[in-house]
Amino acid sequence: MADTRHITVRYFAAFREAMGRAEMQISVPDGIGTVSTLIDWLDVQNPYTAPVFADRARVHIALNNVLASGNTAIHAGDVVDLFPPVSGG
Amino acid sequence: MAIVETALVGATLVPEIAYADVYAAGSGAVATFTGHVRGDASKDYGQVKALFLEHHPVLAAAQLQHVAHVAAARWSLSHVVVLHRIGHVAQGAAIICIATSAAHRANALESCAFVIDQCKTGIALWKQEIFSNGATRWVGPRNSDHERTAAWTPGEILTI
Repeated sequence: MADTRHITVRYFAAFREAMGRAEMQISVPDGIGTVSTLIDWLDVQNPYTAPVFADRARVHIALNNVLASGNTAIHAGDVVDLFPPVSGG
Repeated sequence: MAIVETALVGATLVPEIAYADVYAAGSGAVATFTGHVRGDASKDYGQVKALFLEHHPVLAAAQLQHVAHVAAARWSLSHVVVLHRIGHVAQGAAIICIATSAAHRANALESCAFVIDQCKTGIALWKQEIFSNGATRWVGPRNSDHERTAAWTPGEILTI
């Protein structure tokens, strides 16, 4: 049996609406080492991700409440936030 | 040492309070900016009746503090207050109140403009328009906002 790691993924704003949830706990198979590969895997797993991940340049990332990039490594217990470009002010 | 106050606020903003906070005898200049919800019209959905402001609680609070501290250091401010609404904001109500005080007008005015420009592009907040027919639409990033923040030298201090 392959190793799995438990990770929390949170979605914000338009991503949250498209995914129909704000947060989910997932078991990630071994071999998914970065946020980018996690997104690739999520995209395959879930039919609702198409509008969220269609334009990867619009997917912004935070890991454990710190801004991160697709190359950032993920580990068991991490919280990965995925959100669209901001519109404050 | 400047006094730096920032908050994400779930209730009505009162600009006069931000002004009163930064005013102090001895500060030669106070500048304020207040942004309000516009009643923009859409031919498909009617008029904007309100905004819903979603935020990332940890990132947004830290980024707001960072912007205010950068402004305070860069323009030698005496005091800076930045109050940003979150949640449901009715048309006409204030979304953001900024008040800065400094010895001279240029520092107060420029820092105020800097803070609002950075808040448009560098704080983890998302606006959703709520129209009179009940439809909703997320507001995307605008090139003009990013051009304004990039125009500050050294430019954008946060990029998200």
